[in-house]
Amino acid sequence: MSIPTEVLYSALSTLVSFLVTIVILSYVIGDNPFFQVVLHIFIGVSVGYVLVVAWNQVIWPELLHPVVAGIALQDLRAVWLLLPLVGSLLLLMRAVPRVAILGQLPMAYLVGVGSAVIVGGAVLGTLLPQIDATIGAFDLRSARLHPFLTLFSSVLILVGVLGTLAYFHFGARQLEDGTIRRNALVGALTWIGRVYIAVSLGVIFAGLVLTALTAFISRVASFRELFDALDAIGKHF
Amino acid sequence: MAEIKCPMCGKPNPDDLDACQFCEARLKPVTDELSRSQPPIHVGDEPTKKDTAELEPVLPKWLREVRQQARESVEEQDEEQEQQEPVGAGDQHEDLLAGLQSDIEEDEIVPDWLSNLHGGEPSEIQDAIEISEDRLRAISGDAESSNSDMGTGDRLPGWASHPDAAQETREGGETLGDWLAREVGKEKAQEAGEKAPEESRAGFGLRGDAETDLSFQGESVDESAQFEGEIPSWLRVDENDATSEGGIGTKPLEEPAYREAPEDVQVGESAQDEPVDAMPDWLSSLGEETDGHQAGGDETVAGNGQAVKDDQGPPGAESELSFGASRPESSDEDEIPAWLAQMGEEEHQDEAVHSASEAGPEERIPRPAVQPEADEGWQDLSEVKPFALEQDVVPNEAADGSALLGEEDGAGPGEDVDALFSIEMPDWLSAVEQSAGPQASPEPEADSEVIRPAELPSWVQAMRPVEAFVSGEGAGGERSDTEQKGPLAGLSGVLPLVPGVGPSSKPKTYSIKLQASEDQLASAEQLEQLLEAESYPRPAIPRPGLPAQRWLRMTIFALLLIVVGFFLFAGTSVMYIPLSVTAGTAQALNIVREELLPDAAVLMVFDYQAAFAPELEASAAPLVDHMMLLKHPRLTLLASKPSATGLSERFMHNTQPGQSYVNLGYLPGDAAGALAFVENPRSAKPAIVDGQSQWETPALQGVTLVSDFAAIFLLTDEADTARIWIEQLHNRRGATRLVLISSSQAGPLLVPYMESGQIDGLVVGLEGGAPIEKVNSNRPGTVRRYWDAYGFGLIITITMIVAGSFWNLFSGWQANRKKTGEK
Repeated sequence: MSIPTEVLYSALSTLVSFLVTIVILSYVIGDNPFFQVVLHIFIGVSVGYVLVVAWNQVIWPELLHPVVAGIALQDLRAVWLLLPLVGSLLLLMRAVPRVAILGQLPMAYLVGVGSAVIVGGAVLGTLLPQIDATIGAFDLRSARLHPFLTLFSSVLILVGVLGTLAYFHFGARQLEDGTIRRNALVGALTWIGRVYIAVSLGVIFAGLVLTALTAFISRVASFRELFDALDAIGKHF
Repeated sequence: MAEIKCPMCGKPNPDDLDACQFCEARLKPVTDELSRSQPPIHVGDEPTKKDTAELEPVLPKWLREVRQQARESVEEQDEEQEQQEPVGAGDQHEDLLAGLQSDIEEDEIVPDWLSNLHGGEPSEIQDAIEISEDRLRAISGDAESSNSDMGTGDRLPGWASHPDAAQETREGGETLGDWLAREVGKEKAQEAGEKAPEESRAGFGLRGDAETDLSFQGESVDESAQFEGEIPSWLRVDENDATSEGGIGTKPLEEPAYREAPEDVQVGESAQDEPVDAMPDWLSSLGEETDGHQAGGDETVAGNGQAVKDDQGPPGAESELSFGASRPESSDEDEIPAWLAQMGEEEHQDEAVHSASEAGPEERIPRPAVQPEADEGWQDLSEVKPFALEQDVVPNEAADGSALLGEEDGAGPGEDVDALFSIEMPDWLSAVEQSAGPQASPEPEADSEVIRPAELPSWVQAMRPVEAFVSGEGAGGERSDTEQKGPLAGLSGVLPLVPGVGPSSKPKTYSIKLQASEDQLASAEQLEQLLEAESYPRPAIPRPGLPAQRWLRMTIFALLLIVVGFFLFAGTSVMYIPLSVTAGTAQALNIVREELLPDAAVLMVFDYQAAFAPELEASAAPLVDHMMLLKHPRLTLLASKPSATGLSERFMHNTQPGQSYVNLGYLPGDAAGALAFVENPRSAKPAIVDGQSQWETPALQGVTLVSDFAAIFLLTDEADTARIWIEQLHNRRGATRLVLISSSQAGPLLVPYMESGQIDGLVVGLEGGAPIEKVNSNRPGTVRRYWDAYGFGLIITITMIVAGSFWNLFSGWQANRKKTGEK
């Protein structure tokens, strides 16, 4: 009797997955040591996995190896790689309180570059295209549906956009009697926006439920996978 | 008889009663008579006959004391005079004074209030009359003495210096010279050579020349008898006293100018009209005090026969001059008593009166300390002179005595008396007297400029009727700023005349009350409560519903486990997979089927975590399997998350086992890494494995830019990471198709990008992968295996949500009902 290694590893991984899933689901009953152990193991494995990935796929092949190879080969292009290397070292200085201030420079660089990229991408990739799409929805020439439905859909989208934006507009003015109220039109749009936002949140919640249900189904399916693995192993006996 | 209802008790009373006969409440207003029955009070009006005895207590203390002293001194002097003076010295004067007395009795000019102020004692009035009588005698005597002593006619006033002055004034019936001349004439006829004229001259301070004296002497006794009826009673009554004193005019001559002049003027000018009522008795009593002191001097003068006042005049006369003129010997005019020297100067009369009114009464009341005794010599007078000079409180006009003459310019006697009142009396009383006069004597225009309304004390103003006050203001010209109505009626100058000088509008008032709505107050209160709650640690209170929630969770878990497990283990295919697809799924399927070229370079970006692997694998597997079956693309894997590197391998192992592909690994940098990869994939991710770049592999041949990929499939579980790739690929991917395969939770947030055309296909969750799997040649897939469990699990979930909502609604309704029942 010999069990194929692939089948054995598959059955073993399925068993580990099943046990870990059971332990995690045990949190439904309450916090327990098994849950904590599995949780800590998961965190450790995740960090280890990230470090391995970072070392194997980023630090060594894209930073250290080129620098070392460049120095060895006297390639001046490797000098430019010293800048990210120094920056990475300075970031590591933040772990030491005395020299933590040295990490502010590379951190400032990261924040500046990251913010600029995000802002630029948001404006050029989301804001302007979405505004253009909202306006262009009324162009019935490119309508894929019936013009009336397209127009109705465009109106709904426009009202939803304006309503949602108005909902986050908190400007108001003080009336003569001292009360602070929004403009009537803004108030109406705000009410509509509130409806749209509520619907959107409901949709997002439904997506979360579906995602969670799918994950639950996949975990329950792992039971069957375990049985299938055990069945496969049993076939070899 | 008419009846008046009492405002207090409401009972009828006869209208002639002033007080209610039942409750003794006043039936008529106090100011009724002033404000209605009589015209408003004007400045300069002569006093009205009033019973002012009740005002006696309200007089100032100093005035009452002075009056009391005057009464006492007069009484003493009377007694002394009765003992010392010879009887019958003024027999002829008796006739004259009798006429004056009868005149007074007939006319009854003396006002009631004046007599009441005396307290019903006529002796004081008679004392005052004695003074005037003595004065007349002194004048007549002085006229004779002046013939020999005085030769300077320019010193006489106009009425005295003019030869026909006496006649003119007599015709007018209002001048002093008439009766004085008659008096002088009678004296000269009876007492030729006597020194009484000199005394009168000295006592009067008259420094007239011979013409004056002659004018006085030119009058006959008979003529003077015709004017007996014009002589005031006080002067007539004094005849007896004068007789006893042995001469006329001793006392009047000794009176100071401020007091003598008006009386003299009245005697000569308008004694027939109202000679006495213009001078209140209290003022007479004031004069009596002075007279009392001066009487001694007069008596002395009468006794020693040196009453003639000259530069070398007797001491008694000198002292009188010092009181009367304040500057008796400074010059030629100073030699004449000032008040007499300017008797003819009409133009200064009003000014003098006004100036005299400005001086305090105490400064004009002769003080006993400086009064020379009857037997005092010249040295005594010399001692008095400096006092008079030092006093010098009367302006020159008043000192000249011109102010005391008013008959020539037509000024009424009452005016002079008023002037004296303004001098002697307190301002408040003089003003009342002026305004309360029944008839205002015509005042010259110059008087209105000089004689100004006295300023009344506030309490007197409050007592006065409004009309009177307004009239008083109008006496000198109606003021435009006098308020005619409202609470400020009658007052002037209280409001600005010119708009804009003061505040033109009511100043804006700011309420100190916080103007906040109820909502704002409620919010503020909540904020205060929150802030207060932060400072107080609250003990951890175990939630009472925790066990219930635990059982609820266990119930839900068990229910789902049972349902899902049942359909998974049963392997049923109860629920059909719908053929209808979304637009995103349809386009994604179309790209895979129609647009992708065979052996095209396809990039698959894995951007999800392990927890979402089952869903994304189930959703993406049918599409990738369909693509691999139809196009056999060259797959390149890229992970944007560290964990996604192994998940990509897992995906390919589970869905496309044995399929060749290139795994570029993990792309660090998030958005910046994505941008760098989009700009330059080779530089951003060299993907060197074992010293060899993955870009050199056959799968990536000819690919240097992102746009070189035929399609990019992005598997993501987060809308944010998907948005990063969408944004960075916007306008940089060229003709490269971008298809997103997302989890159910991120799918709704990515639909707008699908609608805007920024992505070319969107497959969301199991519901997105199911139709693709169905059309994928019915290859068994994960979706079909999960589909029944997914469907029934979703039904159970919806049922539990609905049931939970109704349960909460019922429990809430039941709780409210319970609360209502308790109430």
